[in-house]
Amino acid sequence: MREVAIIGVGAHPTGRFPEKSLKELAYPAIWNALDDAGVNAADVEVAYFGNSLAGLLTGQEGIRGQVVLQHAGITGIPIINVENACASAMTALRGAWLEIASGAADVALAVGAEKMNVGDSARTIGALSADSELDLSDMGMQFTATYAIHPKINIKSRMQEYGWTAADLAKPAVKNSYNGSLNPLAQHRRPLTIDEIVQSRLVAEPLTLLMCSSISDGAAAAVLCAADLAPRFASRMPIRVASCVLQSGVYRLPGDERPDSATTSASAAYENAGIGPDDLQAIELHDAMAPAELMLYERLSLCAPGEGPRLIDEQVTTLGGRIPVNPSGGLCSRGHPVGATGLLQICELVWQMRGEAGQRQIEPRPKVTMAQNQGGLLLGQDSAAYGVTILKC
Amino acid sequence: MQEIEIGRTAKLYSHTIAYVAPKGFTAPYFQAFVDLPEGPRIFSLVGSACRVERGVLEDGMQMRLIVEPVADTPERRDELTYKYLPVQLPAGAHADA
Repeated sequence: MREVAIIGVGAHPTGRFPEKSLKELAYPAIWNALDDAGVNAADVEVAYFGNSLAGLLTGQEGIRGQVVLQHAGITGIPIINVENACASAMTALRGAWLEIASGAADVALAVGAEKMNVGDSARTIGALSADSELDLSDMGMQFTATYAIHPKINIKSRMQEYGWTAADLAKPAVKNSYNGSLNPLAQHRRPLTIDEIVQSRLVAEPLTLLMCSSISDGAAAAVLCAADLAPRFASRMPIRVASCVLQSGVYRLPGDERPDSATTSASAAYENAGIGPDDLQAIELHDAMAPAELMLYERLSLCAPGEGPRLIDEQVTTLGGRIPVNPSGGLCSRGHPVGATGLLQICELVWQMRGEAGQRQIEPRPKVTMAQNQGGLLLGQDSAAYGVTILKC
Repeated sequence: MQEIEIGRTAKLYSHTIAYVAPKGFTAPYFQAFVDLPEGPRIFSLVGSACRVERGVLEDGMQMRLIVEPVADTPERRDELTYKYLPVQLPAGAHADA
């Protein structure tokens, strides 16, 4: 496998943009990424386009990538459409990475774009339900509630087992809303307190509204090339892709204590990159619901079971801490345009590694970072797809 | 692959009350996972005979299989599904109570 570098990134701000189409969200991300890389549209040899909901929300079920990219000036080359629920963008990145690592292409583009505000939130939520196995959503499963009770997440039983309080569940949102307040691209820019998060409307006990990510529009893109070719382009600072792992969920019967795919995908990413969790200097992870961050600390081997709230109390994962987590504000504050999220995470890490993250810059600049993105819900496990990427510079 | 017939009993593994509902369902409503003695742990709604209120259900309690319409909307009235109900509804936990 060849070494692969990310040489340019670009993002559209995340938020509510009712007047903008999927194309209009995607263009600034694509053009900024090309410009950032010093690459012309004509230099791109292959493109992966990640999106989850456009089929149901806009009706453009097929050829989503070609429709968007032709107006961005990217035509003729192989364009591969990727749908993998909330992990669509990381899946697109993996495709682009693999093209270059395998030697099939020298320059590749990965795009993730999502248009969720269509003037009818019931329709958007209906489309999101289709990112779960339909046997579940048709039966009346409410997605947020699964975080409370699903065997692999089960926040309620964790509260009992570890003595976590409602305030503990809110802590990631407090931390991440502060980070988001420093991010001009974030959807929600107001720092939140534990009290207002805990006291906001109950969605599914014990999860409250301000612990949930919201409906977002947004887009992000990255340009990748073979690492030894990076000097050919005007990129500010090539960032090496040390590992890029994609796994699917595994069906487990009760009592089967083998690690789940959130854990094994992270372990594989560490192993492929030749590092361990102690080497990480920044992480963007998939906090679709704030308490999921506490659970992911365990899955990424950052702490022992139950110790998540302590990592925040002791400021290990805050912006000034040893391993800042979700410096962008994460899914709850930066926003979660589902098919764009994985690449929004990559954008944030690249900016942090280059020292371009403005007020939320981690000091000293992180040199080893991880993005963790997951999506979909299957009957037998918590998520359908898990993408983990480790970057080095 | 092996086909297994399931019985009518289960044990409540976890539950919560959802205060927002997808189209066709009325919030608040219970969401649950139950353990079948045959092995699987499955998602289930709780039968409509059970009043939706905190404290009514307790993880670990014995449940029984029932069949009733999946959703409340007229267009799905004929669509039946499995749900589970506590074998013994606690006093005052009946939806009509």
